[in-house]
Amino acid sequence: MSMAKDHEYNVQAGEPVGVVAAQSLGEPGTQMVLRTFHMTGVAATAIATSGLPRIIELLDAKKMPSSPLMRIRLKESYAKSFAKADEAAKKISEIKMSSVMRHIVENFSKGKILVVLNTQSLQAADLTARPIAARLGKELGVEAKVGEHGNIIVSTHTKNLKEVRAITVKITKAIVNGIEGAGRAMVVQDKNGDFYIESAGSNIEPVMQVEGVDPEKIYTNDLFSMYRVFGIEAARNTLALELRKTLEDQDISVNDRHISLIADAMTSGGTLQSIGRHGLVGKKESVFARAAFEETVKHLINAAAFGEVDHMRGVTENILVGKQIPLGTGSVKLVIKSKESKKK
Amino acid sequence: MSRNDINSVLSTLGITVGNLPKILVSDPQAKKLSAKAGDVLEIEREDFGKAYTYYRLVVER
Repeated sequence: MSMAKDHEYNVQAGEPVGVVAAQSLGEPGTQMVLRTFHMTGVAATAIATSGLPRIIELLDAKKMPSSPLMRIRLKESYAKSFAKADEAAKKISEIKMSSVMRHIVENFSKGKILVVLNTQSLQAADLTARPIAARLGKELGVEAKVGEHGNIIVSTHTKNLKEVRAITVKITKAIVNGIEGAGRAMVVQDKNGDFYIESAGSNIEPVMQVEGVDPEKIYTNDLFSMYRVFGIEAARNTLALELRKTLEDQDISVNDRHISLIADAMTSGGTLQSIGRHGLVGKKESVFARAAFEETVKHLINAAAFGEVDHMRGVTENILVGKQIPLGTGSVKLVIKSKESKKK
Repeated sequence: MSRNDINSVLSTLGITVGNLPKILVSDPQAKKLSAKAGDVLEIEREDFGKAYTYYRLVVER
């Protein structure tokens, strides 16, 4: 769009941009997929939540998206070679013990636990028993050795039945490779021929420490991670981008400025705020506006108890009492000079 | 931003400092710039290909 055209679309003062944005997003929302559905044959790591469920997730500012995703950019030297990129991806990719284990046997009288590994899945994951044993030992504070047939023998230093069982449970839940919550990581090539990593999980902080990863260039669809690590501006941009992407995936075109406005509104307080009872609407200045939305009695009683004052500056409260709303022509206040009014 | 710059921006927009969007002092980017409460940050944004300037007031909480 050219600059001149941009100016032609500038809004007039008093234009209800918020309502227009809400309507512009709400109407196409009625045409979107209401349910999460699954597709087969998608090349990427996992099938992302799409359509209306994802939009709701974003506007509710949920702590963790139902299908988290990371896009991890690598440092120059790592991005050019597949082998090096793959090496970094292996350090990230999360593999759980349960997926490489065949079964687990406890010997309570000796206080030992035998973990029988699945050689096929080990090979598929490019892992061996030795590093797994080392990691188990370090993380659970037990003695883990590689026994015959490539099995892992864990000595627990206790014969207490309960304690041994507790360790067994910990072992089955343990992560044998990669970073907790990072999910399966894969090396992908962009159109410039540079390699980067896509991962079906989200846990930015430890990933930043991995060798070869460019800590400034990690993207995740998890708003709160972005907010925590990169700040409110990054979270705002992520929110806008994710909204845009979700709508585009459904072949819905909504003007960018509506999306930008929503993202700005949700982040204007310096934190991520959801839209709704616990967020933007719930924190409105006017008592009547809040009471008109949800939990009417609660707001009125609290207002009465604490002596709140309603300045009647918003739209809702003015409609409620039948006054002109401060929008459009209604936003202009009439000022009459006292001298001139006397002349009449 | 300097006090003068802040005032000129506020007068062109016809608002007071309190009306600006906020950013917490504890925000990673605010920390990076070692911003103090009451400062105004000037943010160069590129939003869907359109570049513009955004302002945020640094607040305690």
